[in-house]
Amino acid sequence: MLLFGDGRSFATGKMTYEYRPTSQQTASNRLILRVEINNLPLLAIVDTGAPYVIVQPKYARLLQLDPTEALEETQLMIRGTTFKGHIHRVLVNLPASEGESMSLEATLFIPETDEVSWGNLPSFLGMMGFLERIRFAIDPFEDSFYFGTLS
Amino acid sequence: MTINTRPLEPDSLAEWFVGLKWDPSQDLEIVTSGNPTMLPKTTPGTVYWTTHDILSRKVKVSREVFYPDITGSASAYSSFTREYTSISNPDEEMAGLVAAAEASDERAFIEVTETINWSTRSASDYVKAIRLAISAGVHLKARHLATEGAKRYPANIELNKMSRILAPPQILSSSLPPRPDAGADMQWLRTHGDEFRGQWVALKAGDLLRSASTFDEIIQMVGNPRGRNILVTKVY
Repeated sequence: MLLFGDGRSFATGKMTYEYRPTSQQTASNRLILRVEINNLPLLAIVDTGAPYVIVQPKYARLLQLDPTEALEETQLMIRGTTFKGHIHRVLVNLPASEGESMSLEATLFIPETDEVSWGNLPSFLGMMGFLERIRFAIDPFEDSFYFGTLS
Repeated sequence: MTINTRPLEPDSLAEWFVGLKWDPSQDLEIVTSGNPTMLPKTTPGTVYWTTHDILSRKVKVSREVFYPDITGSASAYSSFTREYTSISNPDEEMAGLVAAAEASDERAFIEVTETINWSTRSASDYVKAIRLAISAGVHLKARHLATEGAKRYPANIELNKMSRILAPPQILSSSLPPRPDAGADMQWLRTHGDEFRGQWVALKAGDLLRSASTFDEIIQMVGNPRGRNILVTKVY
C-alpha cells in the first residue's frame, strides 16, 4: 500500500479517521480512529504523548474485564489529572477499510472513576504500549491513517 | 527536598523515629517525630534519616544526636547537628524510589533505579519498584523492571503477570481481511454527523440502528455492542 524507496512495505492497511474536537466543550481537533478493543468497537484519539490504550469509564463497563487479570490498582496522570485504575492486557483490532487489517495485544489502562470525574476526556491510543510497534502515517488530504508492522 | 524517617538502630528504642520535614510555605525544616512517649525525656539518642534531594538527584543518609524534647523549627535548636555519611543500604535505595515517585520526578526515579544492584533484590522489591515506576509515569522503566524481575524470579506469579501485561505490543496478525464495514461507520459520521450532532448513535456497517440522547439510553436500546460489530458513539 505504502512502500519505502527500496520497495519494502511501509504500510499494509488504511483506515479513515475523523479530525474534529472530542466534545462540545473543546475546540482543538483530534485524530480519531475507529478501533476494536476485545471486540468492542469504539472511537479513540491518537495521542503519542500518552502511555497505553486508555478507555473512557462508560465503555470500560462494557468490556467487562476481569479485575483479577489486571495489575493491582495504580494511578496514571491523564491530561493533568491523576486517575486510579487497573492495567490490563487486551486484544486491539485495527480494521482496514482498504488493505490488511491488523490485530495486536496491547496494554490498556481502565480508570476506576465515575463519569463526572472523567469529564469530557476521550479514549486514547497511546504510544507506549500500543503505537510503539506500529508503523503509521497520515494523509490529511484524505483523512487516511496508514498502518503496518515494523518488520 | 523530601525527608523520610527510619527507625533508630536496633539497640536503641524501637518504634521511635524522627526526621525533618521541609515546609515550603515557611522555608523551614520542621522536626517531626513519632511515638514520643516511648523515648526517655532526658536521654539523647542517635537518629538516622534519609534525605532525597530531588534537585541534586542524590540520596544522602544523615546521622545526628537527637535530643528528645526537640520539636518545631530546626533552626531554633543549636544542639541539633547533622553529619552526612556515606552509609547506604537497600532500604535507603527503595526509599529513594518512593521519594522520586511521590515527587513525580521521572529522571530522579530512573537515576535511583540505576544505582540499585538489582541482583541482590527480592521479588517483592521488583514488584514494589514496578508499581512505583508506573505511578511516577516511568512506564518504560516499569516494563524493563518487570521483564528483568520475571527472568530473575520465573516462579513468581506477580512478576510474570506484570511482565506479560507491560510487555511491548505484540502483533498477532497483520494480514487480516479488509473491513469495509468499519470504514462505512466513519463515512456515515462524515455524511450524517450534522443531522445527529449532540446525539448518541449506534451504527453497524454504515447503517444507523438507533439514536438516543444519552449513552445509557442507547445501550439499553441495542444492548452491549461488544462482539456484535456495533459502534456506539456520540456525534460532535
